[in-house]
Amino acid sequence: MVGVEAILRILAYLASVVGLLPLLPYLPVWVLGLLVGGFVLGWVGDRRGNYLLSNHLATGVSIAFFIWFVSQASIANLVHPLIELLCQLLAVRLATEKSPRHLLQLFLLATIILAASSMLTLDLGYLFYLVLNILLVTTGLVMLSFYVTDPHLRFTRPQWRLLLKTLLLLPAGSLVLMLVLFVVLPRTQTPLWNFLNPQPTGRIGMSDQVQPGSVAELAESGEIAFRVETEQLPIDALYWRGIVLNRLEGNIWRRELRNIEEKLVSKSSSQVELTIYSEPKADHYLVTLDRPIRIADVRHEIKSDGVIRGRLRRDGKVSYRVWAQYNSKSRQLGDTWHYLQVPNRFSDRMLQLAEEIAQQKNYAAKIDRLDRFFLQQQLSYSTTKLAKTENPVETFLFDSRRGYCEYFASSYAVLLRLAGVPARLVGGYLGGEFNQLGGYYLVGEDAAHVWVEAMDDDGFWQRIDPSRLAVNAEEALATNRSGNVSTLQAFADALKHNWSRMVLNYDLRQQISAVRSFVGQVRSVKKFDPASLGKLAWGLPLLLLPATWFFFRYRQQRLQRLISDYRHVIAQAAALDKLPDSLGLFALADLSGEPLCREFAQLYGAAVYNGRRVTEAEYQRLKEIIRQLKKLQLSIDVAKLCPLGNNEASRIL
Amino acid sequence: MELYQRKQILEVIETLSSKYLQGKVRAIRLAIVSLLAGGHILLEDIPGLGKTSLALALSGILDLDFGRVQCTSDLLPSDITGLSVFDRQKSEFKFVKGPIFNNLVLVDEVNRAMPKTQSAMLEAMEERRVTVEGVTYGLPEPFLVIATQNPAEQVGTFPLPESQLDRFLITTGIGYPPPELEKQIIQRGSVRDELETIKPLLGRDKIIETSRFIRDNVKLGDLVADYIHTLIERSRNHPQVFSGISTRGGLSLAAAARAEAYLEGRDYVVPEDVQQIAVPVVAHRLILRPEFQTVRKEEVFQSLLAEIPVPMA
Repeated sequence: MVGVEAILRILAYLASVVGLLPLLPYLPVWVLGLLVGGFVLGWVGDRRGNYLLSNHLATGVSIAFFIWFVSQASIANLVHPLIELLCQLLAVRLATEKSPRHLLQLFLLATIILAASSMLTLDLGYLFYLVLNILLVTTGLVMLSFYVTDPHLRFTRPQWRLLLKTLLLLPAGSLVLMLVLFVVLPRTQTPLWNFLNPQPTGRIGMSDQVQPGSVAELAESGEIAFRVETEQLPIDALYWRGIVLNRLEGNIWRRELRNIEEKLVSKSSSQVELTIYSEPKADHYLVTLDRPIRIADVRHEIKSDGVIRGRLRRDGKVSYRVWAQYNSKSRQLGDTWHYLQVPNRFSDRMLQLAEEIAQQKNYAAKIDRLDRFFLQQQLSYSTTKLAKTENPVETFLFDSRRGYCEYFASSYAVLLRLAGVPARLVGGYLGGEFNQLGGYYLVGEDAAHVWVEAMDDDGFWQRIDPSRLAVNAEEALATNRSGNVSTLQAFADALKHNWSRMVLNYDLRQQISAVRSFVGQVRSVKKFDPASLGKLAWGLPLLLLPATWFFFRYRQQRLQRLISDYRHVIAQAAALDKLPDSLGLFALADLSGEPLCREFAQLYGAAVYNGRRVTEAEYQRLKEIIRQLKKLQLSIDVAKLCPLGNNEASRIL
Repeated sequence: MELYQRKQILEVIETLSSKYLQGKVRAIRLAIVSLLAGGHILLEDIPGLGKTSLALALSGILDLDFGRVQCTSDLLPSDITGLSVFDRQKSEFKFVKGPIFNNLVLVDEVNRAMPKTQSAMLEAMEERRVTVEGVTYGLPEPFLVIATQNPAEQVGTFPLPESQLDRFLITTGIGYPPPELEKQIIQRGSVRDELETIKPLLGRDKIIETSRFIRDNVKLGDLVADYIHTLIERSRNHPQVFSGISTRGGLSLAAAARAEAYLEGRDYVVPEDVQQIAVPVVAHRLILRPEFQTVRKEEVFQSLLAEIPVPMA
């Protein structure tokens, strides 16, 4: 025969130990001492049946510990004081009497401490402790429910065995569920459904090679590539640099890594700071504003041609800060011959054209001649019905005259190289929609773009966008650049952006800074600006509507609360858990014979059953009646509360 | 705030129950409710418990005309409604009104009359007019039928079908008086003679006005209407009940609850009024499933009432 009480104490001690074990190496000696003291005092107290630490004293000590915590804690140093506070509270609870309430607190504290230990250490042992903790706490809670019903309950050995068997089913079931919820789910970067229906891997967007003619049509995807938080920039500056392709092999432009130095001549007037939130992507190139100076918040490798490779997890969202100057130029240092490299198969008309351009005296004149050729050919920008041929560049220039940016850029660059002008392709994005509400640019995968960088006569790389030479360049590129987004769409996207920024990324620093900026704004309200009221005005109805709704709901519910309070008081007076539902207010008043109850029924019934609202004065009076009833220590005969039976009795009268 | 005429009505009940009909306060009260709500009452009890005295006393104190029909198996409809008799002098038929043309009609042992007669009478009760030989005669106002039947007697009776029972607003028993009271009654002798000399406390017009007042001024709010509806709805789905309360049953319940609220001194109905009046108003309208025929309808309904929570907010 073992009593439930003894078992419960053992469970509580065990749960506390399991909670503390992973923390032991991190706790200062004095906290350890406190804990040991708590265990010893508690154990002795259990033995002797009276405890050195009385409840009032324990509360006092706990408050003192809390004050200590507040004095120690700061944003920089939060975790250690918090964990120490938890341990101190546990020590206090261990040392006091083990009432059901205190036992519950012990289990709770042990669980929280175990959870808190994950802030300091997270090795495999944690899983083991977690499983133990769940076993102990669930068993403890069931025992506690027995204990509350009858503190002196005792079970024989076979009974214990049976009980334990059933008890273990509960945590076992929850452990399996936990395994799914806490082990599998957080490890997946994408929602599980996506894992079951994998997305097609070929996507539209920036790619690390350019091969015009590889596809006949470009489908629009509508997917988001990245968002950029920054000020609003000149529209011509919105070239988002991703990758530089410097080698042409057959029809394919690739990137070849070479250590050729370039020097950026900075123009600090055009310097901007941007924060880029990139959606998951397949390659490792970080998109920046053309051209980047410096990048932070992500491990990366920056090349002198302005291409940045990040060391990223595959398929993860990433955010980084970039400092860029959109008007700066970069000077080529060293050889330029490999920017002139071309494969050696070209048709006669290509070579003839190149020859003609090459006759011009300098780079600027050659480029000018090429521009004229492009304009004269009446090329049109198109993403559909593209000819698939062996030699797409030539077909594009001379026959079909339709193509998208890859055609324009690669044919332009090829001709420049043939004519002796160093040239390369730059892949990235063009344009973006500025979201006024969120203060950021939204760039879609559809905005992926390729342009040319050619050398000018001073040895600087200059950006040339041959797609602008298309006859329909205005329309074709305008859609990419700044499509008019409705306010509602902008609002929804701003919400989405902030959600993934603050919640999904779970950036503590960001959350703290959000709180800070809010506090700052509240402070700055003192400097009252009437103009700012106008901005707020549109948000007012949005706030007001839910507020009114809550208010009315609250008003409705307060009557329900009032009635349930009242019935609770009466039920207590009759020593019942709950009054029968079929017992109305007037019947209650008659049965109790208490004038206050009668007044309550009349006041309340006159309003509610008449279909009118309870006035504020009536409400206050009703509350007052309940208060008085509580003081009155009324007692009602339970036998009388058999509500409708008395109908029978009065029949016989 | 005192309601119109309530004091006088309560005085009537008080006088009757203390002086003439001791121990029958509930039956008196129900009779008054049914008078005020414009319905009729069926007293189901064995003979000799004062059903006739109740009717006589009521008619006396309320200053109403009193008619009485003693039902037998050979009673004809015309015995109740009246018939045309040939007047020799004027050489024309003259309509002689039957006992139903009174304010208060006592129909004794209604289950002894044959179905044809029962049906004629009950129709007159409902329609409040009588058509004989193509001429329609209205019945006087107020109009209250107090019918009695003896549930114990089975031989030679025609039990009222449920459809006819539905026409009674209230069905109740009278019950034996408590022993002390019964001893007193035995000692003192019958009060039948005193009833002849009873002094009226209220007039016909007052009763008509009062019942109009109740109909127009006692409010039955949404919550109580919901409650009544839940009640009849649940009675239809009760496992022991074959056919639950009709819409007329719900209407009757509302009317009776209004009268009850008025007697309680309120100008609005509360769910307790409904509870208080529900068993006599509704129980006899239930038709139980054949396998539960032996269960008392009152008990079935009582248990139903106890299940339904009272609306409070």
